[in-house]
Amino acid sequence: MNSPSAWETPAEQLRYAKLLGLGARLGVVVTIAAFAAYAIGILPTDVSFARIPELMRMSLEDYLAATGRPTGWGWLAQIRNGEYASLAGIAILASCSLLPLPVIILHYARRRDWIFVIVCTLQIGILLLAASGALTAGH
Amino acid sequence: MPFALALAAAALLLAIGATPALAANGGEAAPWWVWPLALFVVSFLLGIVAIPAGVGGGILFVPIVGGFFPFHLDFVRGAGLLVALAGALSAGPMLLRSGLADLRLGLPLALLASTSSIFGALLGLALPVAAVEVALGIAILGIVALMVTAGKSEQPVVARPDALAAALSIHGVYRDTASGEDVRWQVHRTPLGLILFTGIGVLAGMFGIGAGWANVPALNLVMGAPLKVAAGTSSFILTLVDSSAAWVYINKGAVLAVIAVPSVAGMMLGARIGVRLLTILKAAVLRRMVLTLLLFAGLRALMKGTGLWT
Repeated sequence: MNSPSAWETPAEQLRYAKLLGLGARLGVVVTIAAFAAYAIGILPTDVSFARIPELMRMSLEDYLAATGRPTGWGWLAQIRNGEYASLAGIAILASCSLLPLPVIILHYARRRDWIFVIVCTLQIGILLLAASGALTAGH
Repeated sequence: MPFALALAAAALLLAIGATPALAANGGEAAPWWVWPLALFVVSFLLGIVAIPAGVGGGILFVPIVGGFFPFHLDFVRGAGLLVALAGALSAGPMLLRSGLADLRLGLPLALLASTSSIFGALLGLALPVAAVEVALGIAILGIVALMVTAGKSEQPVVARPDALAAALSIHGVYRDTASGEDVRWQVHRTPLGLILFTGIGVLAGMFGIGAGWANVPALNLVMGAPLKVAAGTSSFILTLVDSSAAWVYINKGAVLAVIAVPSVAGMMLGARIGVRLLTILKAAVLRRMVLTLLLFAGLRALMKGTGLWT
């Protein structure tokens, strides 16, 4: 007979997994739906499809100059455009972890696990810093 | 089933082989939709072989698509990070639920790796493309050497945790479904692990190749985490590391939906089939095939960067 199991996934880990999974599913659905709408012409586009084969060979700098594509969060102002609507789904995928991290900070704080409160807070800070575009400004 | 595998391998080689012909005249003669379709097919086939071979999608995607498609490497790396991120997000929640990924082990390592991945991404986008191609070629060939020579230990013996691991309470128990037994684990050499993950983050961000190939040996062989916990926690760490680096590429304008979305969709769909094949296929055969592909792609990147094969 097996001895009683000591194995039990910690509650905060289960909560983290649930929220991460929700965010990931939402991101995938938005990305694929927006891209489908873009590719079949439901959403407008400011760069014609005919130019795509030429543009994707260019360096990033040349591509930005040729298309006038906004950097940073500039794409958000053009979210109705098919290319940028797809980017919204990708942004959700890249932000998924921002959903569960604050929840487990509360969990660690209740347990007075201050080291992990700091680790998670710093991780949120790093993700927000990367997402803010502050480090990539002035291209 | 070996027939299906042979078919997938042949289709992958055909698809890769066909791209230079399509890319003649810079690929501008081909209609635009050929490229997302070709990316979807190649990523789908890569997804099928990546999971049973025990490697992430990003490491196959960047050198193969960068080497054989006419896209600029900046856009390929942006898409590669998203391919790796999508793969990690698909598996991460399940691995956390099952206890094979551990938050307490992963969070401190992910914090350093995600910080350094931002700098890796900025560095990669600032360097001349030829220099990045040469560095990518050398890195891929190094990874092939690591995959061939590095051993693995199912359950390394860790006599006692180091002071930092003890202070952070990094230890756990997981249920080994094969034996039905609970496996207790702890880690050592945590400071060295933190240093290694800082370096791994730089490479992940710079090349857009994810970092499972380095995470697992660092967690398993250096820190002494059981192999299953190392593989599971690596996936969780990637959800944070690739997110940070991906934001750099998004903000720089280096993520093109027309390249990234078909690649992510193809890889995720292929990985679902790959997971089903996991129990049927001989992993060693697939691993040899993936190593051959990586060797070829690494040499291609090196020769492209040095101008020997443009």
